Amino acid sequence: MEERPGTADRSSAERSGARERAGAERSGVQERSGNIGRPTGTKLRRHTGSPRPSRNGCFGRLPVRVRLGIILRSMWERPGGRFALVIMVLWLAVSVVSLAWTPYPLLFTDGDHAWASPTAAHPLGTDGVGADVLSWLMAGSRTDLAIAVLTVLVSAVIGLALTAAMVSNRRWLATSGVVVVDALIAIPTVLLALLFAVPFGASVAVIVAACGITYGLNMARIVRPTASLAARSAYVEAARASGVGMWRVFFRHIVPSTFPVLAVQLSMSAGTSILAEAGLTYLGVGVPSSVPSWGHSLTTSVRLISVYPLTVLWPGLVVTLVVTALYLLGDAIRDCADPLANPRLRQAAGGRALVRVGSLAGRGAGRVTDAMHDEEAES
Amino acid sequence: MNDSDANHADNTVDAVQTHVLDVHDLSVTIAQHVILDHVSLHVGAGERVGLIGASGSGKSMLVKALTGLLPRTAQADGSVTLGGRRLDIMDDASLAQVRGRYVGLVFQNPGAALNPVLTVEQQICLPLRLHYELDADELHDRAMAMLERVGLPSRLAGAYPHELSGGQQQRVGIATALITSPRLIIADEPTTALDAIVQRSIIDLLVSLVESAGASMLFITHDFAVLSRATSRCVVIDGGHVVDSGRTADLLRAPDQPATRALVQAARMLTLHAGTGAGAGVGAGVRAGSGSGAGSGSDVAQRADRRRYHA
Repeated sequence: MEERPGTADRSSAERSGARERAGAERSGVQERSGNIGRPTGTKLRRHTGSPRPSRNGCFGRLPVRVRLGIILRSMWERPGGRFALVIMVLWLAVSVVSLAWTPYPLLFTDGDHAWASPTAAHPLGTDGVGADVLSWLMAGSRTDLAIAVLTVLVSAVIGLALTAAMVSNRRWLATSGVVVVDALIAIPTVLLALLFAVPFGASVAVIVAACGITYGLNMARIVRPTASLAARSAYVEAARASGVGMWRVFFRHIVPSTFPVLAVQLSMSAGTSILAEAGLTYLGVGVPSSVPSWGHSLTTSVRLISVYPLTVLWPGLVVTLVVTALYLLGDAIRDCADPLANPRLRQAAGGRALVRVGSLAGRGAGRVTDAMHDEEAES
Repeated sequence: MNDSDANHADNTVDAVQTHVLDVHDLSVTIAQHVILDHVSLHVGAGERVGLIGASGSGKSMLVKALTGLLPRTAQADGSVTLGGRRLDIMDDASLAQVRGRYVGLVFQNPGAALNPVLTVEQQICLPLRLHYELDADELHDRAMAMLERVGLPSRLAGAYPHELSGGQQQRVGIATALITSPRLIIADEPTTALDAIVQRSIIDLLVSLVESAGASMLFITHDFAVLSRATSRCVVIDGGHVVDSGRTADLLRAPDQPATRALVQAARMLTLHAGTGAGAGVGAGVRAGSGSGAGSGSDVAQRADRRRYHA
């Protein structure tokens, strides 16, 4: 079937017509209201509507950088979001700095000053071998950051793969997906880690694998109702009727509908993986003892918790703060990054519909746009 | 004159090849339950054909069969030919190429048929992005042009579906269906979920866009009043069978099949002014005495009020 003859001509005529009309409107507005701030001799740009699309394409949405700014600002305005952002930034900064510098080298020991209370020399005290607690916590932050990030990735992949299977319209695939999830979800994380540690030995990979699998299964189970609802919805049917293929339907139409649930679940995966790391390291199947981590700091100091409680307090506090921040981060992302939940991501896009002058962002553009639309409605 | 020409065309073999859509002996069964039974219909080039039937007569299943979106448990027999290509034996990948590019679908529930997380412009551009290699600027320009053609202000390009009214949502749905200038537009009860005044404007918009594009349309509905405005010929379906077909005006004037008669009477009682035949507008008038049963369209209500006031 060939292209309809004359389609190209018609569309280019439409385009130039649209451009001329836009040009006429704009010059008309300039005549009516001189407060736009642009001199009358200015060359008009080619398009109307939203700003020149970025590489991802705007399509009525704001550019990526503007959206990110709005999201971060919205998160900052919520108390939970602010706390989460601060902790995340601190965590990231400490991890990066610890690669180059810690107050004391990690292998530094001082038997004469073991279990010391906080002093000027050791702000958080020392542990059982006289090593500086602060240095070990700083170094541990990068291990836990790696574990959190990798666990999120692995659980996202496994969770989405299983969800795709469960909402597929192929009956055998959907049934097998459900069976797999229901059968494997009963296996606790610790047991899985022990199973992996036997052949492979204790390592970060064991933690990531065990946590990734169990949280991925959990995520699939929780995301499934939302995904199933989206898969049977009229808009997915409409998308398929437009010619969208199966995979694209899943990733571009079904998964975005599950965004709120997904955001919260992935942040919980990250937070719980840090708790799991502490527990597994204590059991000896997590991070090896030569690698710094918060679990390692907890493990070495919890033995004498009744005698030197302060040494346990610091890693405990750090883990608590970071895990809480991760959970709150998930909530904040769910509420601030979703254009359906955050009106600011919507209003701004609507306000910039027709006039694109860099200095006139926000209310000025909105006023002019409304004025132009009154004109349009009357004509 | 048109009748005899149409009849003559139907009788020649070449006519089959000029039909945009040709459904021949289509039967669909789901779990031993027969949904469609040897349904045959055709839509010629530039023709607007209506498919009318009561709820449960199999209309929506026919639409699914035409686009290859039947549920996996369904068994389909017969042939569906679009512009000379058999759709029933195509695999899903090839069908995905046809859908949206040569066939455009307008859905019944506009609010549900729009993806809630996509902006209007993203929604409209979707078929273009799927089927054509265009850069972002061209996509944007075409989307804006299409918005204008369906009568929506361009400031709505960044709006999300839940910010639009029902009529605006359906206009977006129509824009999405028509942006690739498809040969065939299938409108699956596009006005059922809208109020009567918006119905009229949506139907007029759809008809004018289809006519200006020179495309064909299959308009599916359960309301004869809507068909009289939108189509020249229609097919009546009841319980999965085609029970009647012919020019819309003729069927309205003199329905002989019981299913057709029931549908025409229902339309007459609610909205259609009996006796003016094809071209009568929706809400043009109300038979005396049945105003209380109508309840659709503000002009109907106004007439009823006036009658009561002056009685």
